[in-house]
Amino acid sequence: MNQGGARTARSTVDESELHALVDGRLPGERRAAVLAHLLIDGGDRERVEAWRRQLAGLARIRAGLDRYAEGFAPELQKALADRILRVRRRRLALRGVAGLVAASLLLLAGFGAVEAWRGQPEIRTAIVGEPELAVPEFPFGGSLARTATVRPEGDRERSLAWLASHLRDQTLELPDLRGLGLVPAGGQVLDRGSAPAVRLAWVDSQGRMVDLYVGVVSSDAEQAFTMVGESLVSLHWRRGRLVFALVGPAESPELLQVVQAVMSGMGRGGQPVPTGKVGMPPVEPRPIRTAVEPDVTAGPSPAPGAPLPEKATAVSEDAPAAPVVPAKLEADKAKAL
Amino acid sequence: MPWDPYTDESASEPEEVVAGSTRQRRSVDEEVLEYVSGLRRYALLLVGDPHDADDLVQECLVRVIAQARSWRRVKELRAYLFTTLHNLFVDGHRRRLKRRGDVPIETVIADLLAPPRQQDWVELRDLIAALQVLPKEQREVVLLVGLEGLSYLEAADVLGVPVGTVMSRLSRGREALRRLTSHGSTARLRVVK
Repeated sequence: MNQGGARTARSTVDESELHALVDGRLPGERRAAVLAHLLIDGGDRERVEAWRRQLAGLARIRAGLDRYAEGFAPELQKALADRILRVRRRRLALRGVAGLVAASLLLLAGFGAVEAWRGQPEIRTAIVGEPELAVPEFPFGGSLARTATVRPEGDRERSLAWLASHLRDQTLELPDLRGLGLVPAGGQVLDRGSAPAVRLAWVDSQGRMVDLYVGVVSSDAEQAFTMVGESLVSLHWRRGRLVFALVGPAESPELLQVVQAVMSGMGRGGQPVPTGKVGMPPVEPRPIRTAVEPDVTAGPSPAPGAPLPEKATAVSEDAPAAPVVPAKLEADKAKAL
Repeated sequence: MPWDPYTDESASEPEEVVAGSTRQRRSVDEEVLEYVSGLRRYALLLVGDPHDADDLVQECLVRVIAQARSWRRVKELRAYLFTTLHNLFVDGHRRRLKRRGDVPIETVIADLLAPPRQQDWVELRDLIAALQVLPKEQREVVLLVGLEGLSYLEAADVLGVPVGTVMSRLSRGREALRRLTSHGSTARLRVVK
């Protein structure tokens, strides 16, 4: 029997067939021939017997390790179970939000709102918090992790005005989300990217941050957002030259309404859009088509549920009175941003 | 028909891993837990240290679960898990070698076994010691095929090599084990290591 696997004139059995015999994977039509070969080839028979003893030893090891393998490290099993639950919850929450957003788009389309848009809005969702996911480039500021280091350069209105100065044919309306229980928490210009963008922030009644990223793109290149964090979801869509990304807690059903509110007021072509909502105090429409210079003095951020400030505060890690955000969320945001 | 000595009851049939309709309806997360025991058993014999083995398995499981998506069909979950474990093992092999002490691995692992007869214990310890002496490429193949019952094709997928490479490594590995477990050979080759 040759060792290299090639058949010889003396024997029609090769090495791989001997292993297949030992492993129980030899087709029936070859089994008889190989066994007949072993009857006359003592060397191969000895080798095959030795391999069989190895397999028997491995089987005993396997059986002996059952107690070790199955009864060992219960904390590992628990950690895995916890991990699975977390992933599953995020997945379910994402599906819920994504489904609501999709339904919302259909509803809006039914009312003709889509006709006013310059482009078909495209909503994408992404679970955040998956440690193995590569973080794609943030379209306007490198990666989102890098945007966290950008210092605020003004409040929300000023940031939005700055962004509006980059538009000629679309309006930008500061969305009023008070009816959804979201309190303004600041804004900042993201000017380190290849395109102008701003970040607007709110805090909900539970102290959780909801961030809206708006940027102006100069091409039709596809944009994508993925952030790293825990229990956060990002929704992104596009309207004309504007690209939006909304980041908030995945379990929050209000995200859908936030998307609707933003869509109804930001990026529509030409005409100013009223921002008042049913049951809410009337708000003076403020379409921004050119840069304005509001008072940029940053006041303290409101606590959740507090009366709305006249001026929004800037988003900054070193702000003197940052919004009250649970520690976990702060940690998550640190990862996300 | 010649006498067939190779169909005894102890021969374990390899587990079928082709995805069936039942398992496709279940989540990847749930299925992963079914393979924890096999992964830990394989990892233990692969790396030779219980703590390193569990670190390896946990890293593997967390990575696979984190990457799992509802829209991604994992038809060969077991092979996918072992592939991930293999990649992590290869990545950390050099690091583990540096940390490995002088504790006789065969004794550590043999002590984890259910108490066998004295003669069995000696044989198993020799086999475990011989496995640890094998080059890791051969050890992987021998364990995947002989311990975990993967097919040659599955082992090739796990290791990312052609089936022919699996067969050659299996042949060399088994022959090395045969030599190593003959009288006195194990101790001699451990010195070489």
